[in-house]
Amino acid sequence: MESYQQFLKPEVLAKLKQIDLKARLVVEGFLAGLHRSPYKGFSQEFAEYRSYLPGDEIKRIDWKLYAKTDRFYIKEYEEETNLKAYLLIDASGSMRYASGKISKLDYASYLAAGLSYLLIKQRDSVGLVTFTTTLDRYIPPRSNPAHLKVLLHAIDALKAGGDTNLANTFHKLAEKIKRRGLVIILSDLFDNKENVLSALKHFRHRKHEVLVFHILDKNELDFTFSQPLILKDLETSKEITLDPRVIRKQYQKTINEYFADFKIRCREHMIDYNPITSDTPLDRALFEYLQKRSKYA
Amino acid sequence: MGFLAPSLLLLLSLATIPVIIHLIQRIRLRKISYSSLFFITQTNRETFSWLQVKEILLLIFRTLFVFFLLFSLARPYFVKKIYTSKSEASRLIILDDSYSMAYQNNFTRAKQTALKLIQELKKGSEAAFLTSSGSVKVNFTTDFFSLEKMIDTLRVSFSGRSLEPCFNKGLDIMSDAVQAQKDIYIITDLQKRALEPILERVNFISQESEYDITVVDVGKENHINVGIEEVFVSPNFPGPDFPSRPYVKVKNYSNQTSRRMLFFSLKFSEKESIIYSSQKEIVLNPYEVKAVIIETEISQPGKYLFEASLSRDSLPADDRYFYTVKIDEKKQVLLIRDNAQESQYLARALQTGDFVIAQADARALYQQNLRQYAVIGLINPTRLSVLDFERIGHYVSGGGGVFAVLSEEIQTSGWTDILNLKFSAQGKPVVISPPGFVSIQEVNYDNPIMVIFKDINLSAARFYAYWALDNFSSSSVLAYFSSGKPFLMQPDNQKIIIAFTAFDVSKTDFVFKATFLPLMHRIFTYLSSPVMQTDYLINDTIRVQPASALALRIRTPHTEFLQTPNIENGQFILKFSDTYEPGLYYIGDNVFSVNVHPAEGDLSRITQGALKQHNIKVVTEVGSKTTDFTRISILLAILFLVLELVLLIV
Repeated sequence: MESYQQFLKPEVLAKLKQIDLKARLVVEGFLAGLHRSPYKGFSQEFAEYRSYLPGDEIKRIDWKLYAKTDRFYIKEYEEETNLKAYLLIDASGSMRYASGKISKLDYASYLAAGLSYLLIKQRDSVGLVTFTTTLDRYIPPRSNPAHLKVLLHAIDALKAGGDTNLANTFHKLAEKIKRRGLVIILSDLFDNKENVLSALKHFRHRKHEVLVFHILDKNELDFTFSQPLILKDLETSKEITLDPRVIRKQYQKTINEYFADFKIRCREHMIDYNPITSDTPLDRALFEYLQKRSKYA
Repeated sequence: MGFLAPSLLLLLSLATIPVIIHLIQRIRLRKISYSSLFFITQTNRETFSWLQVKEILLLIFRTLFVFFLLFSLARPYFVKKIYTSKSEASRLIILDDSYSMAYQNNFTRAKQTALKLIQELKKGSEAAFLTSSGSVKVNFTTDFFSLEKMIDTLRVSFSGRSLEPCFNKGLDIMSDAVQAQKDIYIITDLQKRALEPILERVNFISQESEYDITVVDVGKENHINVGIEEVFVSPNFPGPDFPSRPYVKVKNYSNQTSRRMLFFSLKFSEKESIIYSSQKEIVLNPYEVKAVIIETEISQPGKYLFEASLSRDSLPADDRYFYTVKIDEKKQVLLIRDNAQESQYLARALQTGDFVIAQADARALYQQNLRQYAVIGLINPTRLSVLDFERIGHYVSGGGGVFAVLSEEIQTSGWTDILNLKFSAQGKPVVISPPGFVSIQEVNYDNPIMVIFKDINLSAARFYAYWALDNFSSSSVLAYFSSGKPFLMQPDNQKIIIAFTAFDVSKTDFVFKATFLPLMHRIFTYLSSPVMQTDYLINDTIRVQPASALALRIRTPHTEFLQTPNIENGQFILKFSDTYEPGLYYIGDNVFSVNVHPAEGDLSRITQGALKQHNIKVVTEVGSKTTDFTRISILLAILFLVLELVLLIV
């Protein structure tokens, strides 16, 4: 089990080439760490038997089969759900930033792949939206296993570049998605806070559940540069000369205040806001999703 | 604004180093791609602007700190221009650069004053400049820049001259002045010996001429100075119990008890190595003169070089003294006479002693190199010219001894005028026919020459002819005739002995007496004294008479070169006058010591009140005060350093 769990580390995943393998390993590693099965049937359509696992409810044991085989089996049912999940991946230039080996976009890709795998495995419908200043790609949600390949292929082909206009994109998307669903946003949210919140509220207004993974590089939080330098904006190519030692405290204060305020404002509007750095093991993000999923259920 | 060390201004270029470092740092800055400047620009804009301002301020403060620190090294000063002349002027500046001006910062102040006097001049004015040592003479010029530059590089001389010759030169220069306003500024420390000789003259010219004369006082009221006055060897008649020893005469010129270390070294010139050295602490009461004995003997024939020095004080020039002595194995004596008969008995008498006798006709005196003789005997010379007397005078002042025999034919004007013997030459020749005579009757046995004759009868000798002197000082008489007139005289304790009779058998039988020989030996031994001093003062001309026309090697304290002698009156003469600094000067085989004039060490001043009594205008500052910017510059450097540190902490 521990060998699976190592694939929750982004730097280990980065060494793998195939996105579907990455997705599977993330989910398997995640599941192996859970004490209880995350899967719950919501329909009565039988699917298969499986061995009893500690944590499964005793009432779900098939006693007849026990009488025949003298072993504990649990009946699995095909889930029937009307959950439509939308993965929104920010592919703007700023997502290209990496202080280590893993860029924010890499991390978002692994997370999106893992979530897709998990969602499809749960028979949920998953759609994918990638965007920069505008919507770049829109894959409508589907639940069949073959759709997973489409999603993973699209995720694998992601390349960061260009400016970002989150609010505008989110507003457009909120209008586009007709049926209520779960909107999972993977972005660094580098845009005007008020505009972004307004757009998120728009999702809420359309009765969507919103789960925000605010992905940041660790250096964006700590600002650990030690020498005076010139910083070049990956989106706008603007340059600024500064001594990081001098502004570090002020910068950290600003960014912490920003997150704190963003968190409070999200909570006010029932939006799940999860700040996460690109070196965080992926199970934390997946766990957040499952919690949200269970609420949704 | 002026600078006391303008050459150090070049260092100011180093003040650009912080700027260069700043620029290099900017060029070398690492460029890093960053996700977004979103949060950086969201950072308090005021803080960000302040940081940029802070960076610029730090650079400015750092540059100014280095700038003012280096600026202070050039010792800047401000001169506030308050014009002493309202219109164009012809201004002569006389700067006292005698070595007494080296006391503390007197000379620096004097130079500042001179610069100020030039800077104050209105456009169209002219300025001339003179130093008391005679080292610089600038006639009226309008090129003030060059003049200021020259003044800036001036150093105090070793001269001890009074201001008189310089003032006279200045008056010559003033005759070329073209502007209506003509002023003379004398910048001095008011030293008595420098200024006193010109007081009456300055007063007179101030009253009678159109020149406006001002004395600028840059000296100090109170001063402490100890200097070496003289080095000599004593006694002149060394005996087994009384060997000749060097003495150093030290004088305290101040009204305070002073303590100094006296260092002494003795070289034997043949070996050019130090054969004796010592150091001794001396304590001098106010104005005390002390002759310090050096515990070594000077007895072997040869040349000796002495150097005495004191631990340094505020006036270092008179703290060193050089001295040379020469001890001959046999003393060289030159007898000058009109004919050989007049000197034959004296020559024979001396030949029995440690003397080598040379004789010459009085008319050929100019051909003789007097310095090679320890004593010159002038035996009734009637044909000596004024030039001959000048040469004898120079010989005596250089330490030579003279024995003069005067009889009835002598012409005396040269003796009194040139040798300045200070005795009246009035008198008359007395001739007594035998059997009448005079004898030696009264003897001054306190005199070192006569002391050995205390128990010996000198009165047996008979004298038939002698020179009867009218007026004389009894203190200078060694022995009298029975007529009451002097027989032997030593005027003013100089190394000159005069005998008022001729040593000729036709005039005396003294030459046959047993006392004649020892008396002559005694006189010539005294006159030749074991040491032959060749001591010169700064700016003196050293004269050497070489045997041939070959160039002589001259070695001064700082340089060495060859010089060819000239021919004067049929003799080779080498004159060396570049004796600008104290030390030993080697010319051919001879060595000469050159010293500062010791009296210049006496810093006694003429009071400003005394100058005013002579109607001489005296000031201590010209125009407004000069502001020394050095301290302010250092304070500014410290201020900018503090500001930089404060800025770094904030």
